[in-house]
Amino acid sequence: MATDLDHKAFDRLASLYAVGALNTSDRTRFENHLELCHQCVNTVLSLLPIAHALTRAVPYSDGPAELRTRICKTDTSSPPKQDSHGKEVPSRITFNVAATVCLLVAGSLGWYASQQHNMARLLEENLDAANDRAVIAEIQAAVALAAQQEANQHTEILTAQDLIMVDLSSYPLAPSARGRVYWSNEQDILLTASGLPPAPVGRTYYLWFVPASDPVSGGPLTLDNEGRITAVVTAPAGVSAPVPMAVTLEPDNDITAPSGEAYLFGRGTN
Amino acid sequence: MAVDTPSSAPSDGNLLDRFIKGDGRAAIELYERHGDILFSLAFHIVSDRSDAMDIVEGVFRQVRTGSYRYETSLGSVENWLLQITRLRAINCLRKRSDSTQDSELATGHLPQPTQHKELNACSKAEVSKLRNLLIAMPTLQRVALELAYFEGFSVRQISERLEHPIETIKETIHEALLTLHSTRR
Repeated sequence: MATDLDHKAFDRLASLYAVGALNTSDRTRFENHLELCHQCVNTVLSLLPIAHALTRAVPYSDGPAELRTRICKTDTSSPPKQDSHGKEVPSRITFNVAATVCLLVAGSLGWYASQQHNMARLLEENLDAANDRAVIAEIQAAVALAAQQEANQHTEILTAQDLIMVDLSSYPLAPSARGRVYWSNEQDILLTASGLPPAPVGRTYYLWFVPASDPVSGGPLTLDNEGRITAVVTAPAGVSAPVPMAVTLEPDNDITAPSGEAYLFGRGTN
Repeated sequence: MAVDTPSSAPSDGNLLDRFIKGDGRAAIELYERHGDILFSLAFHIVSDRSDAMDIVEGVFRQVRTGSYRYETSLGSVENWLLQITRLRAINCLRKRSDSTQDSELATGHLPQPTQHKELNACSKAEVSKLRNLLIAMPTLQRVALELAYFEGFSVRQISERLEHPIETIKETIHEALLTLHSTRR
């Protein structure tokens, strides 16, 4: 896992990465960092839907009728474009042989040049596509590796010798919500929850540890589309056994104390 | 914009398969479902109708010839076509400015979704909200984000173009994305 110091050097790069704004060398550096930093993986994953949805947020224009016609021709093995200016071929039969030969030669050269042009265009397009595919494959590999490392981390927690489980109970606001904390001092703490309603705009779920009278933030929690949370968190300093924990809904700002509604609560082992 | 299709209509995946095998009707149907949004995106990026038409036609041709292969892990067919269109439009801009070999160029490639269901569920209301948020955004945020996303500028290039420090641009784009992210909650 990346330390906070390592992470700081990459702060804000997740956003640039998500919108494709890193150059090749920065991108490679950041992808190497992604293999170690779950925080950045989570940030990238949370921003991806927006990065992809932006393509749909452009001003709307109807596609021209001519484009539809051109697309219709795409399925017929894409013949070279015809000259659309409708130049007429001279019909007089009094051309002499030399002129005919010249025309044939010129026509052949024109046809040849046109073929070469089309071939060059197709090669260029294929090269672009091959480059795109290579980058896509690299990215898929990086994201898959990050996901694998996240899964490994969960496994390490779940199989830790000192594992203690704490169930989280629901509150009336979300009676079907359920949660469980897997606590390992050797590894880390894994929180899973389900059945939570989507957070309204401007609000985020937070985890709180209550080691004594003052709750300590365990950080914001990201809800997936199914209302589930899976998060690895670190115990507050000086806390080495499960303490009471709660999940509450809070304003987006950085907050130091809970003020919102509670959705889940666990008593710990104190 | 994806057209709502009745349940009896073929899926986009089915149309894509048929199109690749040379079914002309599938090509037309795919275009009728997604052509307008693909053209809108290309036109927004290159600001030229003729270039935008070339780009969309090129996307269909490349898909037809198998240069790009769709996988369901890449999200919806429309999302996939949009991303190809965006990359080709950015390439078109770079060819215009003869800057395709600049090592400082942003790659332009978005990370691929691993939770692709989220990408398929972009409702008209969400798109409308996203568009309104973009319009209402502080100018620096909007311009920086658009240069990055729609023109393929790297953060260094944006910094030079807008005459703001690189760190400011990083922060600006981050804030812009967080604002837009609120539409998904």
